[in-house]
Amino acid sequence: MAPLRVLLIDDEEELVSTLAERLMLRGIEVEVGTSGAYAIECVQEKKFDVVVLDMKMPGIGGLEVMRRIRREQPGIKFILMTGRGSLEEGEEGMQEGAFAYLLKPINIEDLMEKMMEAVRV
Amino acid sequence: MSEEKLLREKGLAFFGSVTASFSHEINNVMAIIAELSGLMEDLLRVADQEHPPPLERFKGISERIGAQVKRGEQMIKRLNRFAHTMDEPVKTIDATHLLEDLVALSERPRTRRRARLETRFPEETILLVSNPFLLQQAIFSCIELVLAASRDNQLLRLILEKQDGGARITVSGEDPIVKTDEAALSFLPMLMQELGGKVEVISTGNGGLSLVLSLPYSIPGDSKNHIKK
Repeated sequence: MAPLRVLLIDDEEELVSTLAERLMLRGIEVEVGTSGAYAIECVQEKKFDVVVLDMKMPGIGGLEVMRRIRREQPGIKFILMTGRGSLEEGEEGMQEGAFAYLLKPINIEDLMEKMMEAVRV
Repeated sequence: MSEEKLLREKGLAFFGSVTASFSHEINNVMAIIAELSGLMEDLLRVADQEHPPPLERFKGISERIGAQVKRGEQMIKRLNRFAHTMDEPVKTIDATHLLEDLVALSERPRTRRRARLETRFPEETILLVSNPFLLQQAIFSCIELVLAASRDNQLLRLILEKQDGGARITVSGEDPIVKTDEAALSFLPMLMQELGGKVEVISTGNGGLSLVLSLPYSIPGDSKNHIKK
């Protein structure tokens, strides 16, 4: 079975690089970025099964990134990460078409489970 | 709405905005620490007798955790100092220290707009007898106004100078104004009046926005009484 291809975007570089390393130890193929603009550019050049996106980023925020990518590539699944204590922001993302959302700090096993579910759907 | 009620509401909104921003940043620090400690667990999990845990990597990860702990500590100290600005309505303030804290407090709105910051603070100490909370609110409002007035990636200048009878704080943006927040702009003079000072809105040569706050060394008696109410 081909490894899962994931694009991981968060403006906290240390967070995104560490999370990527942990995912790679679990056999996931990961590309990382720290801005919404990079995410939009990256999906045009490479193929991904899942995009894991931080909702609050400088420049283009996570929701807007998801909207733009979904217009071009409706098949990509999105998992959103939110740092807010409440669930409202994540629910808004779900209404916009996200597959799932997770509250930061995230549990890597929850993320793995959501990514696997996303590609099975 | 009465002036007093408006001041209270805007003050609460400012307090909420700063604490929300800081708690978001602190949560990010916690998330990074959680991932780094998780990475150590992962490395231990995949290690075996033929592939022992990579000690050098552990040392590096531990240093990265230490750096995040320091970052978190600084944020919490700043947040704590900010919360304590509400303790006394009037106190002696080192204007440079207050501005340095404000630079940190405004990091998130600045980062969101990708603004670059240039500061110019004097070497000499400028002491003001003023209301630290309202003063931070006034300067923060100026920063937000300038950020909101222009496009992303602009250069933001924050200048503190001594002037006759007090201090002058200038917050200016280089880029031409796209839109102005009229409500915030009309609230600023009210805030400055509470501090016994005034605000001037100046258009810079290339169409940018410059907000100049003039503050007395000591908040006038009337303002002190008003603030203590």
